[in-house]
Amino acid sequence: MRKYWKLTRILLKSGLGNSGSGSKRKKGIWSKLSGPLRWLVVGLCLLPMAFMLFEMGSGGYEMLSSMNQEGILVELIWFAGALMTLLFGLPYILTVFYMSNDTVNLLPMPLRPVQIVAAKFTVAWFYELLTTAALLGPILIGFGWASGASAGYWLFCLLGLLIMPVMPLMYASIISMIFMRLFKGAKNKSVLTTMGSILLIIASMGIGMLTSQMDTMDQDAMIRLLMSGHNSLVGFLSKMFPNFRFLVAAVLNTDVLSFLLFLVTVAALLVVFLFIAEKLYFSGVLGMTETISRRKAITEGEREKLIRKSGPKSAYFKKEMRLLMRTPVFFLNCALMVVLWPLFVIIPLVVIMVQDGAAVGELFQELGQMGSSLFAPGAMPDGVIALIWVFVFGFTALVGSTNMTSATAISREGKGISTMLYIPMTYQDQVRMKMLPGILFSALGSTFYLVIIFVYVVIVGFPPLAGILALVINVLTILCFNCLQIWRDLCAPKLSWETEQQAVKQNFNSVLTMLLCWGIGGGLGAGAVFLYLQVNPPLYVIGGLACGVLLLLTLLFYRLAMRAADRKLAALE
Amino acid sequence: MICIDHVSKTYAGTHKAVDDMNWEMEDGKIIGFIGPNGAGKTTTLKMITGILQPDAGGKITLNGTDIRKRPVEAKMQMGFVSDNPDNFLRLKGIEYLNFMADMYDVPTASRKERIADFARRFDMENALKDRILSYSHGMRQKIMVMGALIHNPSVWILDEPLTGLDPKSAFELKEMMKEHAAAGKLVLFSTHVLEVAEKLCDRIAIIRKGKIVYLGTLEDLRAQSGNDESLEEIFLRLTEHA
Repeated sequence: MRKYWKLTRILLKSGLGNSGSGSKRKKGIWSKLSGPLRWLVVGLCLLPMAFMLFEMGSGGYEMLSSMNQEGILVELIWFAGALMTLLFGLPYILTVFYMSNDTVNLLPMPLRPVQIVAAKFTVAWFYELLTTAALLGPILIGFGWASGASAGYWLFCLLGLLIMPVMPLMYASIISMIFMRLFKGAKNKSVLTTMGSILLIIASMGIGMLTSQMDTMDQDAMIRLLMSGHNSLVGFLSKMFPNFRFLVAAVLNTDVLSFLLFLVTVAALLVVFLFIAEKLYFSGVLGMTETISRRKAITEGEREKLIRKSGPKSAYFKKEMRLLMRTPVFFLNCALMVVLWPLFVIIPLVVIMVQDGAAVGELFQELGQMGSSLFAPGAMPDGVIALIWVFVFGFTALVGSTNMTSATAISREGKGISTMLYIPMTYQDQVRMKMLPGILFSALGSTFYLVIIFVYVVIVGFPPLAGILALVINVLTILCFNCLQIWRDLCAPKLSWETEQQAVKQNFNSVLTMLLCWGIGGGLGAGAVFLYLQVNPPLYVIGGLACGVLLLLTLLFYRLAMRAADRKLAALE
Repeated sequence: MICIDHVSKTYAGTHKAVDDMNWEMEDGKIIGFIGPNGAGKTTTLKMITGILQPDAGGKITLNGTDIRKRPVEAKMQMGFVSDNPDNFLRLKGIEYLNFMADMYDVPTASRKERIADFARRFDMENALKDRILSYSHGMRQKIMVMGALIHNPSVWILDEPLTGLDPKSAFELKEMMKEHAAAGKLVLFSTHVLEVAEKLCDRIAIIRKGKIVYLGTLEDLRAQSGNDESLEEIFLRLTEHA
């Protein structure tokens, strides 16, 4: 037990300990903030979301208590938490168990396999705890505040928040371990890890949506369904987590016995899990990061193809893309969501088609009718065009802010940063080439689809100039955000990392630039809406102004990034 | 030729890793840079290669080009093998060599010829199509050496180059260093292994606490010591009691 505690502490420390900037020079305000203070700043930024969740909890109580059915809400909160833990837990499990690459160093130590598995599971649970608490905490507080809950409610909620993630994480672990065990023999482990992670995310999304029919219901129908207890989502989850009824009873009735039952069942399942995981994990993880080497000489034909001169900048860009695409942790954390988001649209459509094919037909028909009436000659109101511009901007801002490629471009170099400093290419050129993959991914995740939509809407009558302006807004937003992201990473790169995941997952630059992008996005959007409502200038003046402001911001961040390239990189020690 | 003129390097405002160093390295020589751990060897090499900036007032030139004022031009003339070969692990060996050749603008024909020659000498012919991640430490070291030599630089700088190399590869590397110097180019390398310095170097520099305490040939050093001390004993005396 002592070794388990020590190992857990070390794993947690090596994972979360050095979560700040790796730069030795602490000049920026952000760099001067201590670790807890940074978390506080992030917490403050998340306050609006917390307030919304709080309202959901208190509003839900008001709505259901009038029917004496408030218990359903508590049940739903825990089930929703379990489902979220399962979905968010998969990447955590993959990261902690399979991508941290530390198991090889742990095996020669005098540790029992179960101690390693248990310590890693605890680390995953700890990471997950933060997410679960941030999402469920405000709803439970909202519910408790509205219901004037007793001390027992608060106590069991707190204990429930600590213990609840264990079960869904066990499911996530078993799914990951079986998958990794099955495909252990694959030749290219990097591709396997990337593809496996993508498949698991898609599968979990599919499961979540197949079990949910609630999004198509009105409020009354939803309440009726929830009260009947036979709807597929709750039914499915109550089968998956049968002991949650004890937790719900403990929280609602302040029932100590129910809570003990919940605790005992979780503990028993944990013992079974550790027994199974011990068998599955090591057979899947060992040799996972090894790349099969063919050890074959280059043939004359290959020599002609492989050894070929290209320009330094093009070579640098190719190198960046290869390293990003071939390093699963980098690709999954930086670029995957940008490429994967269309699935969030496609999968629900497929699920609805499976359940009700006619509904999809109706949806497209309605969209078509709406489009043709909006885009009929002379029928295009200014408001619709403005709304589309705002949508394009917001959509690009969302895609661009979740793309972490530029925000970690310097940090990803780690100890290899010295290569950047001794190769004969100016720092500015290198930074430009480092920014290109980020721009490319954002364009792939937004411009690509917008061009398709643009062609379609212009055909049905959308003014081409408005469409071109929408594309300009898209391109400028992408450029602006990428310049901002790489500037931030240049100012305080996290270069002292031992595992690749630390470079991207525990890099505050990602969070900070995402918040900054949202701030800029919100500010610009609000400014444009204010201008439209208050001054009411001609629509294209607003569009032009928005593009102008975006261009100015892009140039500003570009200048800052280039200045930082020369100053900050040269000053690295 | 490398000229170091009144160069110092201070870390964190207080710790002087290199202290007012003056050093002129001639072409056609193999120069060994020796010193205990933390004496300032790697810091000096990093300043010569442009990885670190010297304190204000110091100046480093490579073949007359100031590394601070015209960095790209100066770096084009040099090849550097760092003490950490764990770079670009997800690239294939051949991709890495091609990347380095592109950085130094090496024509296709020359790079083909050099890659074939280096691969043969280092027994790397069957490894170039594999990712560097699959290489052993020694193989990684060899691919870094190949990358540093791909443009046939006039100044070749190596930080602890023999660490992890098998005997044949170590022999080949020493031969390549000799050939490079014989062709009128400069080879500067740091090492802890005194026997290597003894057999390979035309000149040596011994550094202690950021200051060069001896600069010259080994013969002169022995003559100066004037007794039957071994090189090891002379080194220990210079670095511990200088």
